[in-house]
Amino acid sequence: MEGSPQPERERPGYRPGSVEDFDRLYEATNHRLFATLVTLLRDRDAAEDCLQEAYLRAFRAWQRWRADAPAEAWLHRIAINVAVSYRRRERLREVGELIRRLGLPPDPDPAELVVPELVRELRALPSKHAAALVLRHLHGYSNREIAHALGVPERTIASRLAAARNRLQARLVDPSEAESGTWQEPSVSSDK
Amino acid sequence: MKPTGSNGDFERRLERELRLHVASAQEPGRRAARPAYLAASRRGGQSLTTSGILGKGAAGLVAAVLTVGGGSAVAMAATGSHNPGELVQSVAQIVAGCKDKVRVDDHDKSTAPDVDTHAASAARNNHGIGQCVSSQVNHNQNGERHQQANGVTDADERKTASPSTSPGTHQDHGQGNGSGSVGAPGQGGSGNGTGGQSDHGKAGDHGHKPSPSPHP
Repeated sequence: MEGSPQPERERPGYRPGSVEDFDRLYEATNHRLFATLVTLLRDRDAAEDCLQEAYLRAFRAWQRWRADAPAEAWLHRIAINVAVSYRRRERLREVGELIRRLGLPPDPDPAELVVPELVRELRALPSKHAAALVLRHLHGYSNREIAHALGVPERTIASRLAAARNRLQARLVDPSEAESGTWQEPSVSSDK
Repeated sequence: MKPTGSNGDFERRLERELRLHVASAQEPGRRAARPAYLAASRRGGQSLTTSGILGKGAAGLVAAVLTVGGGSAVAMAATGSHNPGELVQSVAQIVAGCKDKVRVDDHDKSTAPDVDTHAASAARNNHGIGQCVSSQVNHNQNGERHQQANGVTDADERKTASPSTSPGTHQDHGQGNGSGSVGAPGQGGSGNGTGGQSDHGKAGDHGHKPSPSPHP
């Protein structure tokens, strides 16, 4: 699926507002967006839900899309925002669940157990750090494209990637030295 | 980006494991084959087409005629067509004709010395369109019923020809007064054209409301 990068983002010719072009964009990009979401989120269903939501939002905004940014990076930006919102809600649910269980540790998620350690720890990073790593190391995005996708200045991408890699490495060596096992959204903007 | 040293090793590992994970997750499921945005695009397409023909208020009026008037039976009788597409087209023509007629009337009135507010003028226009469409629909409906009666039974013909047998239901037909006269036979007037138009006009507005920004 991801082996032969023939990025849609290098193909010109999408017309904002054109339903046919949006269909084409969907066909060209939905697998890569799904790959991003299924890496960032815990399960397939959540990834599919977010994928649908992201394309729906993108379609509503398609009239206003401007070709100064690669269309796939723009879609990724929407999808990542959807995923961030999803993860926030998920974290709230987890907190509620924790309170309900009066401090007992949660049951391990069976789906999470089969996930490679690296991906599990990646998911524990702040959403946009994790997204930056996925965009670079899964999709081969350039700094500029990552900047578009994350909605941050291009000059911050290199430092964000380095910080994300360092945090991930640290977690892999000793997960307990990282902040916690759950999502840490507030630090997303720390290196903006 | 060129991986270097131990960072390079880590980056290679990152790429490899991400790809393996994504490969194992396979592809998006069946929902991806029928994405949610397609439904939105279809809804958008329909409302755009309707508004292109009629405009918001008139589209609401068509809906009101079809709904209040008892649906397809009345629409069929009013337009003489069994095809839903033709029904809409025919009603659209009726409404367009009425709009022109009302516009001309309004222009005549606007030359009068007493100045009216815009809202009052609009309300008067809508009311005028309602009356006009109602009258057209009734006119066509009566013609259709007359044709059917000629070809069916004497009883049907008697029923059609003598509306006084049931004053509450048939009295309105053919009057074209816009107050529930678009009701189907036996249904009575369950609303008036103006009210229906107003409500459905709002629904049309809702359909064209700009979507919120995705905050990308």
